[in-house]
Amino acid sequence: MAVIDVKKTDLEKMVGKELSIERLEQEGSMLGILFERSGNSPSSLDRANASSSSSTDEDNKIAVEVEPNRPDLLSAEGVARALKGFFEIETGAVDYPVTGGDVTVTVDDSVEDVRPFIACARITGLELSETALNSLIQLQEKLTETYGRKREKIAIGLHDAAPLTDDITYKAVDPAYKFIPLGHDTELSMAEILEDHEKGKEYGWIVEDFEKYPLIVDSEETVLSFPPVINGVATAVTTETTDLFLDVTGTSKREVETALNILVAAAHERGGTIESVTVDGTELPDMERETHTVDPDYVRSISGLDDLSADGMAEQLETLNYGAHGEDGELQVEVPAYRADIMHDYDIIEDVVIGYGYDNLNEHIPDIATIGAQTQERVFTDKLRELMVGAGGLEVMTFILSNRDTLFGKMDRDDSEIVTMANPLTEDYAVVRNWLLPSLMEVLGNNQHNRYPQTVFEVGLCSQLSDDTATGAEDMRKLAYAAADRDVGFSDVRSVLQSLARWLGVELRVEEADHESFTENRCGTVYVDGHEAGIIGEISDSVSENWGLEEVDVAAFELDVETLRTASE
Amino acid sequence: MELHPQAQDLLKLLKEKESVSVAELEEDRSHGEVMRPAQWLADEGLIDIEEDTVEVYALTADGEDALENGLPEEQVLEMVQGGDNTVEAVRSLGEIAGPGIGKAKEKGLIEIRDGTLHLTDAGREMLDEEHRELAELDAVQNGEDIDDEMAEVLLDRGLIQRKERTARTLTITENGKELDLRTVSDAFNVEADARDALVGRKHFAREVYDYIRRTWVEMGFKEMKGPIVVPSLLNFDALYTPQDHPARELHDTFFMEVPEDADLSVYGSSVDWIKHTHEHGWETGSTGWQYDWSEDEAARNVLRTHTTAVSAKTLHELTEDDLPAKFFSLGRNFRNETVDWKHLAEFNQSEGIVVDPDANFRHLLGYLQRFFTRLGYADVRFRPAYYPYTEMSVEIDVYDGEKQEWVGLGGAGMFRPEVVKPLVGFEVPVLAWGLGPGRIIMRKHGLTDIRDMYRNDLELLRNAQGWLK
Repeated sequence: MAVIDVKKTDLEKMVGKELSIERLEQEGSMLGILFERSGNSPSSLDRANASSSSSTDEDNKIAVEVEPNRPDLLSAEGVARALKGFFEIETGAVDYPVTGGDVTVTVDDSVEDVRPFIACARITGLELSETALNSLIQLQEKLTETYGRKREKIAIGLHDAAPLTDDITYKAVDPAYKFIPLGHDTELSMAEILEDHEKGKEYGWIVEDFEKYPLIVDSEETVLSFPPVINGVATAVTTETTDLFLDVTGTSKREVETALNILVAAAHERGGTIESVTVDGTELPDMERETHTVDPDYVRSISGLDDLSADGMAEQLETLNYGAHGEDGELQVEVPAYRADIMHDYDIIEDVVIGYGYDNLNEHIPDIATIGAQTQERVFTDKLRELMVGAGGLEVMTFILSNRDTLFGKMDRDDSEIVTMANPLTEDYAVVRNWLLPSLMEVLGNNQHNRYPQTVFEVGLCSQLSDDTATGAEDMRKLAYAAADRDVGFSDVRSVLQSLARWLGVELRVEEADHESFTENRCGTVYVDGHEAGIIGEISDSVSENWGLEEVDVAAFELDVETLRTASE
Repeated sequence: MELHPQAQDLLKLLKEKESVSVAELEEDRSHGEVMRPAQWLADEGLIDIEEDTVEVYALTADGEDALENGLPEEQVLEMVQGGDNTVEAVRSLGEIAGPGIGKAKEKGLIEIRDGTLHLTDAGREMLDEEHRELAELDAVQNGEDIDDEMAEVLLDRGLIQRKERTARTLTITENGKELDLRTVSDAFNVEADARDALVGRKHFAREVYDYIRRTWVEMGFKEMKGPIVVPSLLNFDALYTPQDHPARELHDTFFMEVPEDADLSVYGSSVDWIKHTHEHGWETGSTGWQYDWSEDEAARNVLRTHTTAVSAKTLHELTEDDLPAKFFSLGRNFRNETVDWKHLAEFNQSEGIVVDPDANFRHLLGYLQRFFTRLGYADVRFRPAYYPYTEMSVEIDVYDGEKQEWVGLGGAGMFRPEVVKPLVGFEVPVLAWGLGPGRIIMRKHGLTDIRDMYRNDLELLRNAQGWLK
């Protein structure tokens, strides 16, 4: 979730109303926006409004948390627009008139493989305060970070339009091409920028594998931008800037254009006039609202708002800045050009319900007859646990993820192929365990400061490779039981195993076996009704030592739960 | 005469020493172990218990803070030395900033010029040496004596306070001296603690999982199951998560090296339907995400990151005849995260779905209200949220009456048609919600470090309070 910083006084100026932080916190959350005071002293309304000099910046700061499906709310301008509607100060869609402009952007074929799409617009007649300028810059940063997937999908340039000619080209050029990037006072080649410039190091990976790099430049060779890395110094924006040139480049046409619309709407909210730019023959931005016709019966059946008329739905949508019109059993919805998230009628229905208020709906639980049940496997494992507790076992809960040293090395076993992750962050969790006993050994090793005797058990998931499943892996549920004390032996755990077999009503047989983790002649394979079900024995001195357990003996068994269950049926 | 063995021991000691202070005895015994036998002996007239009020010093809250973090002026000095030497920066120390600056100035440790603080030679020297006042605070904490002059200084600064304490001395009486211990027999004391039994029991987290499962079953939900290794298709694509979504990045999700890819043919035509839904919406009425969907990407195996992968599998196996149906799951999920007090690489989650042709959003809120009330929370509230696979998404807060605060406990929503139709083959409303039991368990047992749930300290497991609901 993205968090932006806004100033309360700035919001109030745009909303045209005093806003208490308490109201923002409470009612804003019902719009899906979380407000939190981020300054360190409580700000009183009077202080914040009296004069800007008496209220410090800290008092005024609010952190606003926005859901990722609403990039249009990543700015004070967007949040103010939403609040105006939701608080019913000004409802309905905002118009964004676009005047025809003279600037053309030619898109050269060379960008096709590198970064194919570009959308541009001009904003004129701005008088940007420092707050307004910072807000637009923050919007640009947050948009590219989240919606733009760290500039890979979308990058944005804000430019002072004054030094530019009307004839701009977007093309891919040789990395040797030189210009002065922002943050520098000498020319660097694009290759050098990737090497040496802070932004080049951060975003260079997006273009470094291409032979040519994207460039936006005007007919006088004034460089606007080397997207998605860095802008040129010539078009840097300051509070003196009155005319803005916006460029958005990226890999998806729809998202590039939506991002442009979000920026344009915000700049318009700051009093700018929108001027079109002809990009490859198309006039942008396209701020026309898209019309959707929604069946009010569908809205009612999905939302459960049975009594809400089409007109009532339109009213709710208008508080969320839609244009909407409900009449004669038909709902006409105009979706603002800055909305990136409207893919389905469901998205519009959600906004009807948000407008109506989640807290105003009468919850209702329908009367449908279904029969509840746990799986047979679950019921069976619960019973196994009860029996183990009855035998004095203390249930432990360990991690399913493990590592080869725990499963093989410390258990004196040879490595074999098991379910393995490709990208573990730490070597501690690099594989899925294939047996449970190592987890119990770890628990015993960590508990030597506690009283003995210690008897622990777990019924837990393991995994193995399998040819019978679509993924090639298969879950196994195992029961492991271990006893540790100064003088514990095979018979101590064998007696518990016998009780278990009697309870299951199965025939138990133990055949002597060799196993690297167990003491010779004190280890056996367990069979229930003739099916191999697991292993039992005294843990070898060497394995015990591997777990730091020199002072006590450990005896244990591990059984496959599914084998026990099918045998007992 | 009958005496408890503890009383006999104490009397024997007093026969040797005549008189001894309770404080001294308590050095290697608990208060109860001293005072209970002492009282029995006093009742028999064998010893006297004398009480005196003495004045002692104790740390104030500020004193404890100073002992832990250093004296306010030291904290200020350290900050200044570290380069954060503006008054504004030092203010970030909070309440102690004011007194710290004041004291540092008074002691001539700093100078303030133009709103920035500078160390004096004395200040630099002080940083180098172990501070005497701290040593004294340490002494006070350990109940040791400190000299009066120093005590005055610390009292003045509000770091210590005077407290009255009752000091008891045990003195043997003439009767006690005369009593021959060989004539005394043991008395049985029903009030004394016995050794703890080594009981077996379920893990304290298991009790909560069992309780949550019972709640689902009581509400008519049937348990569903699914494996922990799943194709990305089930974990992401079927849930309408686009292939370039940040959740699918390597630092969030465990991808598998062995076995690397899944055979998607078991999902039949759903694979194509999911592809078309992502690309242009298919027959769902959606615009789709509008990109080229890759089947290879969907075939990559992952460790499931949420139980919603199990819900997706269940939906895929569902037929029209099964409706209406309710399912739940509770199981382990995995995130490729660095483990710390807040994050684990694996965690449990519980999730339920209602598949009902007549279901709507009001029903969802009804189910949620009922479910969380049954879990023991009287007040439940809902607010809008966002999940990629639900529309009308809900954040669920419950009111914790004991701690008197709202806690976020789960998420809910209606599955998007882009999720349901490609999996089931037709459109049907699906209500879904989930919760993390970890939150409930940690609050119940006062845990603040999530790793403590898996610490498996046997004494803690044995002595944890039970879940009595």
